[in-house]
Amino acid sequence: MNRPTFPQVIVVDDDEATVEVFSEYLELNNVKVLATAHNGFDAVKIFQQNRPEIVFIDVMMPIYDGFYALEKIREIDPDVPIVMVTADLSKATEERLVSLGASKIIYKPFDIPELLDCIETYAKR
Amino acid sequence: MKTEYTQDLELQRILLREINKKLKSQKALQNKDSATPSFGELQSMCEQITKSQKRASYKTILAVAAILSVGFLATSFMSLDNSNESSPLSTYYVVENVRGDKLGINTHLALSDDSVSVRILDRVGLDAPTINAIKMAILSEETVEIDGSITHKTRPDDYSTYYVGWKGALGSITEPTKNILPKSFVFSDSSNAQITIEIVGHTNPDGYDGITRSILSADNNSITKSHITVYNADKKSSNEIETIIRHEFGHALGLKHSTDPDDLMAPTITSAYPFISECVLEGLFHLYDGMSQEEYECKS
Ligand SMILES: [Zn+2]
Repeated sequence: MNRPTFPQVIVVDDDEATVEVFSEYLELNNVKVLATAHNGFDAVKIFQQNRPEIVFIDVMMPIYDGFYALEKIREIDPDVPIVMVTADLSKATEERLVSLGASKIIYKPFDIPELLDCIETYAKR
Repeated sequence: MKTEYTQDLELQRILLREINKKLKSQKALQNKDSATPSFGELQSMCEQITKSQKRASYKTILAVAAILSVGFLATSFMSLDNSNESSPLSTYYVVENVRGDKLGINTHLALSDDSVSVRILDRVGLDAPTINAIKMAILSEETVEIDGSITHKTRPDDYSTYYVGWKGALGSITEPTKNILPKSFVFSDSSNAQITIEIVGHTNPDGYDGITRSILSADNNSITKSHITVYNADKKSSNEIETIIRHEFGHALGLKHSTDPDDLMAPTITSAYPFISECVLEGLFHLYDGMSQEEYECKS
């Protein structure tokens, strides 16, 4: 049987409980969570260390937020899919995320199966 | 007809934890060689997204992402319902009781005046009568009288009054409330509209006909925005769409589900008279008068 290679991701959210349950869910669905971080600064660090296929970043984090991480990671890698997760529905936030190079915006509370589905889409490339 | 409602992030975490538990027990049962579950099941939906990405502009993709990202809590709730396990989550919306039906109350819509802006995003090109039906579920001030022999809520020949539209229903509340009660609804194309109704042609992967996603204020004390999605709209009658909107709009105003299977706010709408009942109105009054995160018990 041809075993597929698992998509490899990093997860960044300031809420540790969210990171924990979300990562566990991903792992249970054969997505490899290489590393997690709780702020935008560490997000950039774990990105450089792990070079994941897909990056998940929560927008609202204290001090070094998701915008910071998005901008820095985009500078390092113009192609890596970066999925931004936010509860902020405002046009301004959407535009800012798009202009900084977000691949996709997922609004909280999100549909987890849909998220997995898009991991597959991005991982196939 | 399935309809569902999504609430806040804490609930999402709780549900995710619950799903993880279930996945783990499923995995334990599976033999080791067949261990690629969800991806296969999600294939068709993935194709849908890819297709839409090909023809859509980037902005539209974002919109699609937003629409698709609402089903999770609802799904979890249903799947928990379907499995015959006793789960603490099944009591989240509804507290069991032996007498009377209870209507869940979430939190009120945050308003600076009594006017609410509503945007309709029609992705399927509905005909004018259907658009009108959607507006009627909100704007109608019409009432219908239904005989007790049908509703079983009153004696036969005693009639109960139901409202066809939310405007009429809310307008009938004359007592003052602590929070501003919405009284008028203005249709607008602005993305800042407080309630967005998105009508789409695709199928919700979890089988829902309608979903409402509400964003709560930072203090969780009010709803700042709601997004209603109606799925498979091109395969539905205008009557069905009107009913779904009537139900989902109730969520957008802050209502949760009712334990009464014949009520408009029942999780699955099967009622022959899916209109706004006195019970729903009383619940709304208490909701806007400061009661929150509780169940309102309807007088029968
Ligand atoms: Zn519902």
